[in-house]
Amino acid sequence: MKKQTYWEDISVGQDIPSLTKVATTLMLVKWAGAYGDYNPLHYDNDFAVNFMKTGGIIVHGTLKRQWLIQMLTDWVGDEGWLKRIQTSFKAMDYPRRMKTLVGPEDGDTWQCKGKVTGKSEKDGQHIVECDIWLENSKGEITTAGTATLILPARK
Amino acid sequence: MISDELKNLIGRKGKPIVYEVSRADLRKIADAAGDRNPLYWDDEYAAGTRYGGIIAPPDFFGWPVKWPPDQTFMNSNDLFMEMAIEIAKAGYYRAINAGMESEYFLPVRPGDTIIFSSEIVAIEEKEGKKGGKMMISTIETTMTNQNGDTVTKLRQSSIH
Repeated sequence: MKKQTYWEDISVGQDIPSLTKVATTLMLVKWAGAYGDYNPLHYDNDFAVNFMKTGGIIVHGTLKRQWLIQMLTDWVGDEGWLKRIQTSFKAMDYPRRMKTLVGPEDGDTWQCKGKVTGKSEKDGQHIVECDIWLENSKGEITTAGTATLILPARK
Repeated sequence: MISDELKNLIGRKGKPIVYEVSRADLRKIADAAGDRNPLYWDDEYAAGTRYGGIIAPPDFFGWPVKWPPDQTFMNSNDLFMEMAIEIAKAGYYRAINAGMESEYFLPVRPGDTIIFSSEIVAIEEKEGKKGGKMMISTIETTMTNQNGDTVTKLRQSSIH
């Protein structure tokens, strides 16, 4: 079994263990296919520049959100349950282009981060509220939101 | 001001989409996100947890929903595209995902049949931060499983 976090172990104000991610153009194509979001904004640079005016292809908001989901599910473990997640896509993120088949160019690395903002018990459930966000290499927050998790209790 | 055509779209429901969940589908999502959680990958491990087997990652459903067969991107046969095309007539040609909120009630497992029911709940014109105007649309989707239980609710907003 993986290590399990319990409700009693968590205190308001504590940081959620961060998760590091890199997005490449290759990964955006994988995400488009897996998720079913075939918007060319995420793989057709001419479309992104000329029609969407984003300056280039951008990382799917849904992928950035899935990274934040992974941070939360890694944290609360098999006995925890992600109850609710809200994410606002505040700024665009640009994937690293592939330099060779096996390696991307230099570019952004992202950090998924979070902080506990509240703890409560309701109807026998042990609840934790958090702020969550994604930072690019410059430390700018490009996605931000909140989440509610249910954790197991020791008692 | 939004046109009567746009007002009439508020409350419009999409044709429910029925989707059978396969192990390959949910693993593609975990793979593309770079998530190695054994709950999605390791049968033996997952069997020993409270879930008793493999489950899908939260949010594996896709946005706005999994499309029916033979759907190409600019096919207006989809609730979101139908709305986006109508909003384009008001001069807003582009759309971008502004935010999403989900609530999860039950795990989704391989072999589940999920029914996606979407409804346009809001279309509003607003002043943008940089002075120009924009449209904000919101679609709510409820996913129910083969037992009629709600597994997830999703609220997704776009800026046009």
